Amino acid sequence: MRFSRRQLLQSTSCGFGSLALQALCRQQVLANQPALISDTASAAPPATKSQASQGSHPSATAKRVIFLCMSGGPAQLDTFDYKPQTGNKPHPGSVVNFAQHGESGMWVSDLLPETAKHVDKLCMLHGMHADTGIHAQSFLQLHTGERLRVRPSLGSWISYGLGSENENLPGFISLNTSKTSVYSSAFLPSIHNGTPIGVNGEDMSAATLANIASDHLPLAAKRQQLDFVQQLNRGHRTQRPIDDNLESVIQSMELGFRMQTSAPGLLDLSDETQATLDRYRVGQQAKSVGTCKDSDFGRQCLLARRFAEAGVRFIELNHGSWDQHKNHRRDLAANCAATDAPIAALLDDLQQRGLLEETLVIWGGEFGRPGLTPENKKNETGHNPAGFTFWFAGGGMKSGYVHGKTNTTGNKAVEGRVHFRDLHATILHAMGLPANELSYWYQGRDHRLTGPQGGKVAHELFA
Amino acid sequence: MNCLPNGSSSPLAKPLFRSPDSVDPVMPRFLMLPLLVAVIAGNAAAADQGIEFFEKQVRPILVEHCYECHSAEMDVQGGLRLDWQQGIVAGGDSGPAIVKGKPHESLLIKAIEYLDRQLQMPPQNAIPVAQQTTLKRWIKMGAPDPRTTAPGETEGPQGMSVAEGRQFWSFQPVVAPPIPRIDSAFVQTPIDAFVLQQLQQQGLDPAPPADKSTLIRRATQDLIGLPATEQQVADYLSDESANAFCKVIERLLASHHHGQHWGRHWLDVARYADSNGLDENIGFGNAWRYRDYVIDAFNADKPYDRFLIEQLAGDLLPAASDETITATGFLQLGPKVLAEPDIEKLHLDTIDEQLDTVGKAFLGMTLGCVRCHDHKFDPIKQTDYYSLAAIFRSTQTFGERKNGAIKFWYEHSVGSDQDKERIAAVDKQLAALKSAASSFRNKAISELRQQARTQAADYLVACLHFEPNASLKQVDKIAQPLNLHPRVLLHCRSHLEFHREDPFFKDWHRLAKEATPDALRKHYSELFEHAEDAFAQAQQQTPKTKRLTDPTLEAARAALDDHSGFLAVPSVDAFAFDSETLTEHHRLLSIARAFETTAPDLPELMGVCDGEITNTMPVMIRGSHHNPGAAVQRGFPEVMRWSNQPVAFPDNASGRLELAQWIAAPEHPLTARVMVNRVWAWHFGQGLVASTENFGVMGQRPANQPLLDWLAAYFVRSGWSVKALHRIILNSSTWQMASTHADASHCQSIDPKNQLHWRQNLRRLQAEQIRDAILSVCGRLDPSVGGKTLPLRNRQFVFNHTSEDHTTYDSLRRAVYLPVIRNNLYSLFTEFDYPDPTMPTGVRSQTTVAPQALVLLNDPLILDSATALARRITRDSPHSTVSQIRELYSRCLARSPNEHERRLATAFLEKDIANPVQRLAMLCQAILCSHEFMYVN
Repeated sequence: MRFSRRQLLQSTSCGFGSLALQALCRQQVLANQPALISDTASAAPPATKSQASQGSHPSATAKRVIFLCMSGGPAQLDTFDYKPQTGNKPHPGSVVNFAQHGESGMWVSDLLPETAKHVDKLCMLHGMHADTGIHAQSFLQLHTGERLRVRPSLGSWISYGLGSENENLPGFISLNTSKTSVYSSAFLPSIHNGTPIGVNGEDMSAATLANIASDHLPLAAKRQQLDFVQQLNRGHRTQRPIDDNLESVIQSMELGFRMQTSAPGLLDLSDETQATLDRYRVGQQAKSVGTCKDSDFGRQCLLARRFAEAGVRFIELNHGSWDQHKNHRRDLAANCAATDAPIAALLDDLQQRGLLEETLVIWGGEFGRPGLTPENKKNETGHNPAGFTFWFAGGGMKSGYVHGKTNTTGNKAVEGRVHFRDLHATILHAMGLPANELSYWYQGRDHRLTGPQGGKVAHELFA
Repeated sequence: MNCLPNGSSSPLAKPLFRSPDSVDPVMPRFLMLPLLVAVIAGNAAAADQGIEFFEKQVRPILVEHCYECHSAEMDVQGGLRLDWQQGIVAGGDSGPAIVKGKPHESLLIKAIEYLDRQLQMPPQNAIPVAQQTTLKRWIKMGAPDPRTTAPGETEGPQGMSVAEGRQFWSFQPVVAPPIPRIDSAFVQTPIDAFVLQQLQQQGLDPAPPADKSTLIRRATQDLIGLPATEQQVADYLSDESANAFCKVIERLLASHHHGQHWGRHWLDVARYADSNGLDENIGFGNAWRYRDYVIDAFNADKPYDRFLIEQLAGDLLPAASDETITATGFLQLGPKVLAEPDIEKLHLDTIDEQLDTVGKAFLGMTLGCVRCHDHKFDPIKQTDYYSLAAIFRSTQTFGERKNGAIKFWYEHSVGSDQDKERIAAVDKQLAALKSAASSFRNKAISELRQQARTQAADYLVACLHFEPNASLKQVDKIAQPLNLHPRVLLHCRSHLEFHREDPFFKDWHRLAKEATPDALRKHYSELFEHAEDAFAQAQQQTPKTKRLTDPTLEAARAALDDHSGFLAVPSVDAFAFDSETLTEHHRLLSIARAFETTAPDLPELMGVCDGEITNTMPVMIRGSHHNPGAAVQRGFPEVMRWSNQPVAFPDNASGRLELAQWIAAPEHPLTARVMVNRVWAWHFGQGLVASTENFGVMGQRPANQPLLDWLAAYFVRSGWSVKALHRIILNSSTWQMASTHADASHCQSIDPKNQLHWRQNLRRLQAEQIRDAILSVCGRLDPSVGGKTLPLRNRQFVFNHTSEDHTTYDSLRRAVYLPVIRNNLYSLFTEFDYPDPTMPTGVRSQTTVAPQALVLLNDPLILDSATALARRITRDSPHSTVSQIRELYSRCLARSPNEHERRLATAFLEKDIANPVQRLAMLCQAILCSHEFMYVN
């Protein structure tokens, strides 16, 4: 039997999983065909579940991504990119104290004492650069590769390329999220849309999935109700054996029902010990200071670990804002304090559980900031897209490794330059997806995350 | 095609890369012919020397500094390749990189010398002077270069030529093909003849006709987007006249619900929204007029050519009216970067959005691609794009006014002086309410500041008791008994920490170590007192005094007066104020917002008008307005023209009307085809051309071109009547087929996508249909029609002071009237494949995902509706379970339950789960999320 594209899409009933698509995708990507899914009449063989459930691509170094998105433009010179004064003339650089840490001797600011203990796990990218110093545009470009138009988000591309590891959960979750355009699947099938949990500015501890709460009736009663629906639906289905999507609906109803029980459990931290909650600083963030907003980043990090364990493919966390124009020192310290221990706890736990090597952890924001000159009393910083820092941990990347650098004032990436499209290419590569070939046919041409220019994989970063 | 202007032919071709001391402003950039200086001709030894010089000296420089952006392997920015001989000679977008033998005329040298701000390469830092000298010497030598073959040539696809394009199916004129003569009962309309012919060629039989009850349900959903009632079904079933179904069609076409459903289809194409989206998400307070215009147009069966012309140029028609001007909202509805600081970029981005939308909506062409280069696939050239862009350049999309950085889109004011007065009064009221909130806040802040100031020494003493990294909880314990503000205190402590070097706070750290708290208090309270006294005195003497002369006292005064200093009050209101103050401030803000939300606007029509007329527009090289090339005249894409007669564009009008009339002309090869294909797709779930927005080379070929062309010709002949299309389609055997087929698996193996139409497609209701159907069968649908429903004033921000969008979707009117907020769509709709309202959508996708199940299981809309339905049913049939079930089936599915179904439902109602009222509501919900309710057979 042959399947049409539409039927295949429609029959990816597990919704989040997109299992059939995954196999199809792998097959086509490897064959280097221009379009993963096109409306051509060519029919693809149906994918079997056993084929699809392998989880990731053989050449992948990572199975999943945890993206610690630091919105607002973190000041690289006072966190990771140490620029001490050189020569006789005062110049912009780091204004907080730095020390070397770990066997790698990597420099880390004193504002991040906990993260500093993990430098030997980090792969530091000091040569990041972007196109614009406008927040919204650069933030969108970081997520989708495109500054103005609504395009699929990085997580959506990865979900599209690989599907989810867990049938009961979405493949792409965005915590404490902001605009929908940041986690949108845009023209990719909507199963790859990011599932938001919590909105920036609202209380994270109450954040949950839409419509997951179902306390209007006991679950047992609802089960009986669903059984009744399914009985009707199966009756309807048997009259129309050719309409496979009806089977998908039946399955998706079951998955939705299961999610009602599995997802709230993952969001409920009551089975974690107090010691763990303390390590992650869940609910303990010193409330907002200046631009630093309470994002309960500890809860986010702990949820990220739990989702990673449960097999979610792409988990994005959000903290901000690092856009500390005035009161640079105070607000930066607050942002560091809010995220430092939670990130350290997450790295600890991932390693302890053997998950770090298969989980690519990414830290960074839409751009960096120019440095302050320690000598003058100025305490205000702006935006700088010409050079800034990201770091990776795990996921097959080198550890205790520094890639690229900025010039002496730290305002330009001069070596090991990595643009967002190169970052995207590198992440896709780590996931075993061919960076510039993973594409989707839409409105008359192939679209890819790395854009018309394509991205360069930073092969040097891989262990 | 050469995009470079030759010399000074165009006034706009001003040189971009002029060096400051250049005498001839045109010369450096537009050297058309690279001067072919013989490379040290006739002397082999010299040539070898040259090559050696290149290899030893030049190549390393190019590799080190240039290849990253200018080689095939890495990147080809600005179209310039320095990785082979011809690359350098031919140059990039800005012309040849070198003039052999003349370093000072070579762009390459200008770039590396860093003399011209516009052209500095490499962009990070200039290369060392020694290397600059080397490159100059090399060019002087004639630029010997052994790299005669291009490495890694990766030429992108080249678009079709215009001549080839004219042979492509969609650019050929529409000629109605002869109707196949097939003797079959299936052939009720010409459509069926075309369909049957193809089926027969594949050896397939069409499905049998659907039964009458399926037909009327299908037709009702199809034409008005609502479920048929049991009465309507019964009436039709009992009508045995030959034209019974025609009567049903006419009744539905005459219903005002028809426009609500079909208007919504068009709104998908028009990327309709009630807010701008993008960075500045502000309300389109007048977009609803366009929405109502579209609904009315479909109800009135406005001829499509007229509909098209009004949307593109309704303001320019000889008999322009409010209605036709409202139609031009089509051009205005796109998302815009309203705060874009680069005005030229804003205009060009807006034009691009308009062109892209016009292309996709009316022509099935992706014109957006052509902004930067000739189309990679279709026979559309960059010159075509800018010919069209010139028309839109002459159109005014932005108004004169702006609000801060936010530009106003253009609106036609239709308000009377009286209206203006009335609205001015409203504006004044609003301003007063807003200022009430802000002055309350300012007052509260200054009170906080004043209070902190009087307690300045207390704060400094209290800081002795904790470290800067203390938690707020700890600080709170210290602050409470002292009546201090915990956050101010915590901030004060970190301020001290970060200003250890500040002489004024140095003392604090010293005293903290060496002295008692009392001594510290004494030190600072005296200091502050002195400073305040001294300042008061000084001001008495000289009222304009700004600072004190004594440095210590001045430091104290400055510290006290610094709003971001050691006593800074938190900038976040929630942290600064106690709950009472906060509540009051929010109350005042909410009053202002509530007033604003419902405040009337000046009657204005969102649309465009003609602006400053320009006859030509430069082709922007690579789409960059910093790089204008040769100018082109206003015009239409060459490949679509059917006449060699040049278009006479008026000098005093933008040319939009001429463009609209040209697109709407019967001769246009695309317009009718694109629209009949849309209508077909909305009736069958897929178009004859599957890519409804792309009739180009990379789009799909028509599954049945003779049928498409026949329909297009029929459409034009019928006076562009969309209702005529509905009639002929719904009366066809093709549309009336059952969605099941006796030999389905065979048919499916031949034609898996049912492109040949061997059956009718089974279709899920669209998002709005699902909602409207639920509300309608539960008796909750509010029948009111038209008008503004956006809960925002024109240009009001979607998000309030807490960054929340308070748009609610609990209105019970038809879905087409719910606000469409970009970046924040109604979640129930997005779960069911509602389209992205930033781009035209012809066919919505139909996905099946688990969150949809969660909506059906738990969304309040469904739960409330099920409860309402259960209540109605109980009221109408209070006693008998059997009649309740009958009533439920009748209302939801317009039929009676069969014996099996009745038994199942009875058994469910007898289960010992929840109370009987809840059980009936659960049964209602179960029917509402069943396949039969959600799908049209």
